[in-house]
Amino acid sequence: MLRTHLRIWVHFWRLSVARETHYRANFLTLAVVAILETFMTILPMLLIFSFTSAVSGWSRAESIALVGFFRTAIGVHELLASGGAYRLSSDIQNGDLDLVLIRPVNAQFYVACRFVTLPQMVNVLIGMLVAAIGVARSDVTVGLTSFVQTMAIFICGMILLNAAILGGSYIAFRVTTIDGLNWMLQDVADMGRYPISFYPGAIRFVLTAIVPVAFVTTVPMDALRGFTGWDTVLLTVAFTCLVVMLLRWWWNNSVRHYASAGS
Amino acid sequence: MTPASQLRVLRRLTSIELVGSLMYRTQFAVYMVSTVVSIMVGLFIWLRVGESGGDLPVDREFIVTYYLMLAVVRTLVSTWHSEFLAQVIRKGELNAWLARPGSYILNLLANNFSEKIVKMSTILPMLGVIWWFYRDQFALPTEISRWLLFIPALVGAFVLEFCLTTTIGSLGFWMDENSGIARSRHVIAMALSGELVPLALYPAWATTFLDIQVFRFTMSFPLEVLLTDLSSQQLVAGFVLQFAWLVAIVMVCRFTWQRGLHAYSGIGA
Repeated sequence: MLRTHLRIWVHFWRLSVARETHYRANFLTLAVVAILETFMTILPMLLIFSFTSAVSGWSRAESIALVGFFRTAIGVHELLASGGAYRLSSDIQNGDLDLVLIRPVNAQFYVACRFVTLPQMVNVLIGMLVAAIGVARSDVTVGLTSFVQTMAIFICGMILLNAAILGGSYIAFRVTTIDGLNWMLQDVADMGRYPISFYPGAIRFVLTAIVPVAFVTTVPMDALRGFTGWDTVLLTVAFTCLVVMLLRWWWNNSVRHYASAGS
Repeated sequence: MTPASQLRVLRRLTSIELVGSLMYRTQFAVYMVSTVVSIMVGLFIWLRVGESGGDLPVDREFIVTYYLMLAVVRTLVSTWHSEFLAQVIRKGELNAWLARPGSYILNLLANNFSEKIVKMSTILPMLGVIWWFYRDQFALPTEISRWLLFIPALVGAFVLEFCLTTTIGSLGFWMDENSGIARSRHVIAMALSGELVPLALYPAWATTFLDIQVFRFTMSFPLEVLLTDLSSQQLVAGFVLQFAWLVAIVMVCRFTWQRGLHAYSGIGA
């Protein structure tokens, strides 16, 4: 079963390559946009730290490393899951989801992963580069333990972030359109480009528990800076397992509301 | 068509679009939450920088008023039809409009006006809630002259923004896909219009470039007119530059649209 899904996933990648080679100029433009977007995320950091050396315990280099984590996570989301999440609403409206549900494949997997947005690879690579530069220029000493902890939290964080956005897209089974909701979730997730300690308490709660972008930015960076231990890693893994189970339940529950042919 | 009959068509189209927009009130409310969220990020961040001992060239009062008014200005000025227009061109849906006496541009304008009415009615209560938390630091000018100058700056900003968006949308006459260009414009405009960071917070060496570039006049300039003590010389220079950009962009927009119509095959793509 796992091998079948892996084969299908590889096929989604092949389709994406075929699509992007058809619109080569657009691919290049989107790659340039990815570079511009990364610069625009770093720009406020550069401006902020031209007025002060530290904000809420974060130095410039650490904040730039955090931007790198953020861009990598958003890049991975847009590369693998955002296309599917966006299309779900119109598929439900048009009744096109029928063709997904009758396939001998896990429909939740198919809906989430079917649209690979290849130009976002650029975002992922740039994000990793920015994170590496930020860490190298900071006073952070990366040990094996802190690296493993950081990666474990970051991977869990990416699962959590994608689960939150996909979970939001399943609301499309119950309402007419959710385009605005998708935008809103993206904008809330976008707040993660700054350390959550920059925000008031209520916003920190939202960025940790509701749209858990803190788990791809602030929490892994805290692990890298040596501020968190294995207890945080275990809690994050447990929270991720819980959210994945909830997402599975939410999907099954939502599909029951699907009445086919333009519901 | 005479200007009077064009206005009549525009008014009628706006009424029709308004009815359509009102059907999606919840959708617009969610969009507006999104707008408020993206703008309030700047407010929270710069207030935090100030609290952390950052030596900012502006005070807390300016930051609060700037970002709250930015949400209003952005709602009134921003346009979004470039990809939509390109799609209409690609699919050959422009045909029906070419047979009508009014231009399709009128329909785009009507769509903009109607959505602005709905968006303003949803965003103002949200901003009211934020205003309540920061009401002690929110200070709008009381001088009538500033408000009188703010209005033409705002109208100029809207026309500039509308023509820029229409020009990019018109690329659909020649290109299969313009979303990359539209997104590039959006990202660059975010930084240079004062939406991401107030232009007053940029370093001094960038001031000359920031003062003359087009995106300043699509967002920042109306806010500068309203909230900062611009000298009469700076005001005149600002309005002259905005007008010059306006003339240039309107001409480019008109040229692109007319050349595009000549190139349009009407069968879709």
